[in-house]
Amino acid sequence: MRVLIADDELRLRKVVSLHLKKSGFDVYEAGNGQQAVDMAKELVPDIIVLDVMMPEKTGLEACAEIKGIKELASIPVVLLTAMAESDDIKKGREAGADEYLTKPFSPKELIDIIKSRT
Amino acid sequence: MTSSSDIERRLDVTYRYFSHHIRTCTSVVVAMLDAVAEGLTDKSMTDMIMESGYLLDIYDRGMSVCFNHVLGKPHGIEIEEMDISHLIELYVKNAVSEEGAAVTSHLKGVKVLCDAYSFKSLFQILLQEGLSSSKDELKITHDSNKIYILPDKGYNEIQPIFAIFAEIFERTGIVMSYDKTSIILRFQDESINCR
Repeated sequence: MRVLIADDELRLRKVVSLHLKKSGFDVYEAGNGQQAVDMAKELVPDIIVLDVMMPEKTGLEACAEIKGIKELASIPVVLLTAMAESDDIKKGREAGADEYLTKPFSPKELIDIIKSRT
Repeated sequence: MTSSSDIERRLDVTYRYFSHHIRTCTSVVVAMLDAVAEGLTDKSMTDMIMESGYLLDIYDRGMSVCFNHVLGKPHGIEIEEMDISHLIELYVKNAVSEEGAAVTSHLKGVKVLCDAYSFKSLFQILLQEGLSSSKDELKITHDSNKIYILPDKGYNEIQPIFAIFAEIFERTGIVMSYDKTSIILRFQDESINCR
């Protein structure tokens, strides 16, 4: 099971990857939204986890772009964000996100979501 | 006079910026502690908990400085002499991962007069912004009365919060300017001492 995770915070990427790998996933990391889109096209992962506030392209923009690509549209996207307000969640849904997890989160929460979506 | 809608917009900018960073740092701590509990960690991991804790403290102080400024609360400015190279060393020691970009400082002996509490927080946040944008190296240099924060690949984005930081620096005569390549702090000649 291949998981693409994109977050500009190196520490968070590293520790989340660690937990996902321990749970048996193959993990691929991107440091910004544009890199996430490029890697998604190349890897066609089973699920994509995107931070919302990222440079180059935000998670919302990356999500909308991925969902607009026919070959990638069915891949579940989990938005990982610090923005907890309902308006932000609405924007995530509009961008085509399948799940929305608010920071801070426990790795178990994310793993449960990934398992339920794949 | 600042309108209430402008105050609301500036509060929103402040909240969004600091909420993002504080929640992200908290996520690192939570996930790392989970990893520690499961015996997954090595020294670099526990270092990351310390680094995130340090950044949480900086962001919390910075948030307080910004909210007080936006709300126009009276503030007591305590001008102190600050050794910039010591402040950078403190930041590097406590907040920079070995795996990330390196911080190179060329400010030995540079001392500035500033409002210590706000300067210490905001300057380190600017260093963190620079580091986040750097691929291999964040360079901090000075020239005459200016200090430059230079990520090797330029800044990923100009954060809206920078405008509020600039206003806070301006209270003590420090002019902050920024573009996609650098952040520059210009001090009054009598407020910077390069020995």
